[in-house]
Amino acid sequence: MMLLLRLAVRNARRNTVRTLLTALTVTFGTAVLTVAMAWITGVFGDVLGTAADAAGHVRVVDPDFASREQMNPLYEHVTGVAARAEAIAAMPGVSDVAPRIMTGVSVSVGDEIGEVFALAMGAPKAYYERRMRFDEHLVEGSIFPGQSPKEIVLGATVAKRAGVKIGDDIVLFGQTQDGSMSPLRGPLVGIVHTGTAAIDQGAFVLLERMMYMADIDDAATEILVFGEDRDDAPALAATVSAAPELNGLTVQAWTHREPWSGMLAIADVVRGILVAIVVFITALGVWNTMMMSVMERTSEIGVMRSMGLSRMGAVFLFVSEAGGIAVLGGLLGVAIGGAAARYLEVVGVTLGEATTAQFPSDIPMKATLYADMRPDIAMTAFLLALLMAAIGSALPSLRAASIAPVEAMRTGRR
Amino acid sequence: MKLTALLVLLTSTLSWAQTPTADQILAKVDANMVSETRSNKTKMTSITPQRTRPPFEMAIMAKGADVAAIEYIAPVRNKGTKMLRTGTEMKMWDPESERVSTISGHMLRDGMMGTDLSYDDMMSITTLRTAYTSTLKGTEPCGNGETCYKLELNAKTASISYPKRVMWVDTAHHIPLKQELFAASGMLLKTWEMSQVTQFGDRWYPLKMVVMDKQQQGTSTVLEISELQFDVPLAEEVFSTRWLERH
Amino acid sequence: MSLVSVVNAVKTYGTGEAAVHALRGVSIEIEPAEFTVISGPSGSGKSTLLNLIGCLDVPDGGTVRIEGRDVNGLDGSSLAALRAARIGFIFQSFNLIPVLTALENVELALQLAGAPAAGRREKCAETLTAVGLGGLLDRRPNQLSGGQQQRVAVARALVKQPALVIADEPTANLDSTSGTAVLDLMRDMNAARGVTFLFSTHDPKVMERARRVVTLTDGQITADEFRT
Ligand SMILES: Nc1ncnc2c1ncn2[C@@H]1O[C@H](COP(=O)(O)OP(=O)(O)O)[C@@H](O)[C@H]1O
Ligand SMILES: [Mg+2]
Repeated sequence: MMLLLRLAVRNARRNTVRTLLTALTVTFGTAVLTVAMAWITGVFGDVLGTAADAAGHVRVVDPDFASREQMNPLYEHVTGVAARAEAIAAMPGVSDVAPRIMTGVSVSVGDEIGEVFALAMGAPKAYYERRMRFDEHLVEGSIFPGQSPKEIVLGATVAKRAGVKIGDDIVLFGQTQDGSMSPLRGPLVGIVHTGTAAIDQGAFVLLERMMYMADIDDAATEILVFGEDRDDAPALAATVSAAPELNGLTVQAWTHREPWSGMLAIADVVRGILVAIVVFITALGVWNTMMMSVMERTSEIGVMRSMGLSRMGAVFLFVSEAGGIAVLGGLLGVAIGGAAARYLEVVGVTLGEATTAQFPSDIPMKATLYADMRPDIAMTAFLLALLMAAIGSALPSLRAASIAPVEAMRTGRR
Repeated sequence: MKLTALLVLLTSTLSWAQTPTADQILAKVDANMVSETRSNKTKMTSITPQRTRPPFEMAIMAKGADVAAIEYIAPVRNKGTKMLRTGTEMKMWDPESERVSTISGHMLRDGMMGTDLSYDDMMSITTLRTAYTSTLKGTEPCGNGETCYKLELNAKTASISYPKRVMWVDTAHHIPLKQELFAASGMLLKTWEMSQVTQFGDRWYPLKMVVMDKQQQGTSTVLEISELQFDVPLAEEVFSTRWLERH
Repeated sequence: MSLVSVVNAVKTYGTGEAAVHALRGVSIEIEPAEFTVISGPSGSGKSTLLNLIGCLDVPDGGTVRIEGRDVNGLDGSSLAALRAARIGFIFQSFNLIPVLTALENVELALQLAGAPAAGRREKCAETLTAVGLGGLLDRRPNQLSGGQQQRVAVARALVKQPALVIADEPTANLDSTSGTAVLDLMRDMNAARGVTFLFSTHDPKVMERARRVVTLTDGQITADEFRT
């Protein structure tokens, strides 16, 4: 086998220019894939990840809430939430648990209701700090300093529209679970600006206050569960859903929830199409080279076949030659692509003013997008380089395998 | 021959005299339903397929057709909440926000406290006769073996909760025992039934009403009226912002 | 038992009008340690017969037996195994693997024959030394003359100690001096090691050295003479 391998390597060096061109094709393909995958991961990961981080790696809800989520039915809540949250917190792999209630409210300082609408959220303080990262986004005041249990934090967009300032007594007009009008009054203690429209459009209170507004006792519409890494969500969901305390409730990993599952599917499709195209084109280059080699070496293969080389041996010879080219080309491609992706990760791409101007001024759109060059992307790109070689050399090596031993004799006549 | 002709003329004249016009019927409805002043307690029970809620109890004071004040007595959560309707404006004070807020626009047409009744339904803005033109569509049996005039009401202005109503007014007491309330599109929005028609002096008034919001599935709201008094003296102060803020 | 036993072998290329009857019923027995030449004009079917005997191809009719085994009953991989173990080939145009050194070319044959790695290189070096290329082990084919290349080919065929060495016009691409030298080499190997050789040729010099000359004409054996 070592000798065959050595033969494959020497074969690759026979036509250096051709081999180099093939390797560079693989390099180019791999580099493009590395950058593209890092970019897709970065941009989607940024949009999805931050949102998913806030929405819970895993979420526990009433099945009826899940099926009618758009209507946000407050009466389809999870009861006995304190005990359940405690049980979940004790499970392996769980690092955080946050019951949460959300509902639409209108915000007022004066005596007119119905001017400024906001998405009100009730959750534990730790959730706002650790998951929403409010401390990083605070523009004024502080996050639930604890002077009063009635404290309210507003998103920047809402605060601006309502014309309120820190210290103002504001009223959130919401509803109870039965649809009865239900105001919540408290001092405005902080204003956050996250850059995410939905959050900047929010009003935030502590969980107990929201329970009061919704008129639900020791209950919440959602229990958000967090593990170490949001990518482990499906496994975490499996652990959590096995708990007897959560019988009859729906447990979903964020990757299985809309809109993320849809967006992830789109990202996967985009990635899939891109990978398919690049792999196909590169494989075509490999195919071309290998086919030429097989044709040129017909009698040589015949000689080896006559000496006892098996069909698999012939396949091995060409696949390993293509593999060798792909390994070199792929490594170079990952290096070059990785460097480019790293640049995009650090420096990012700043959207032109023409692009950012298309967003309403009060919805702060992230002006710079970044790639996310993870080690597994380099790994994937390298494996894809091998795939290119495998696909590209498949037909040529089958062709080589089909060379009959008599071909060895035939050359004599030429 | 002459006699027959005379008889025909006479009976037709008589029957004309006996059948009131739609407008006349509506005037009698308004006369029953709207009073100089009125005070009562109302128990409002909302029934939904999901859940039974504790009923609301409130004290209501009304003056004419367009001024009304409500104070909630129960449940505990809402106790002390006050609402004041003056013309097209509505203000509310509640113990949680401890301030007077104005409820305006579409909110007035939303379910009051999540019931099938809107604020507009509870505290109507005007008499039916001023808001609608009416046509008589004949008589039909209704209620518990009563006979009703069937009236079709069409709004004079577009900016009204129910641009069209069909109502069955009982011929005996002139109470709309049943109403169907429609949107401009002709879609049925609500049905409203009245019963336990009781005499108060020279007027009749229903002590029970059932409202169903047809936009929601299987919900209904029952109003039970007690301690009803008409034309009692009510302090002017009741209908002021000062009353709202006093607690 | 004959080493090779061909009975009534028929081989036809193509069909119908275009059919070429390369062999029309050939029968021949070859005993161990023979040094036999198949002669005949170009197109007479020499290569075709060697292909059948070398198990590179199977006959359309008749039987070919190698050491008593009927090759018609064997599948591709069994034939490959049989070739690898029992038959060595020497080709007209040497057909060395150009990217391998002389030593590696010989070693490849040994490896394909399934010989264990231990002692393999030494054995190959010995064989190359025996064919007179002791100093040229690390040369590539293009660094060797035609005669030297064919010596490597001889070493490649012999190294696995086959029962039979088949050489299709081994001297056709060599000048007469090197051709003679390669022939002498094969003759020596035949004498010293008892290896059976089967040639095809129309070179009279080759026929001179043969002990048995089989003449093929138009796909049929027309003469079969033994010499001493
Ligand atoms: N693969 C093949 N396809 C078609 N015809 C062939 C093939 N191989 C040999 N032939 C024909 O068979 C006949 C015998 O050929 P061959 O055995 O090569 O003769 P020789 O080796 O004696 O020159 C010739 O007419 C040749 O053209
Ligand atoms: Mg020939």
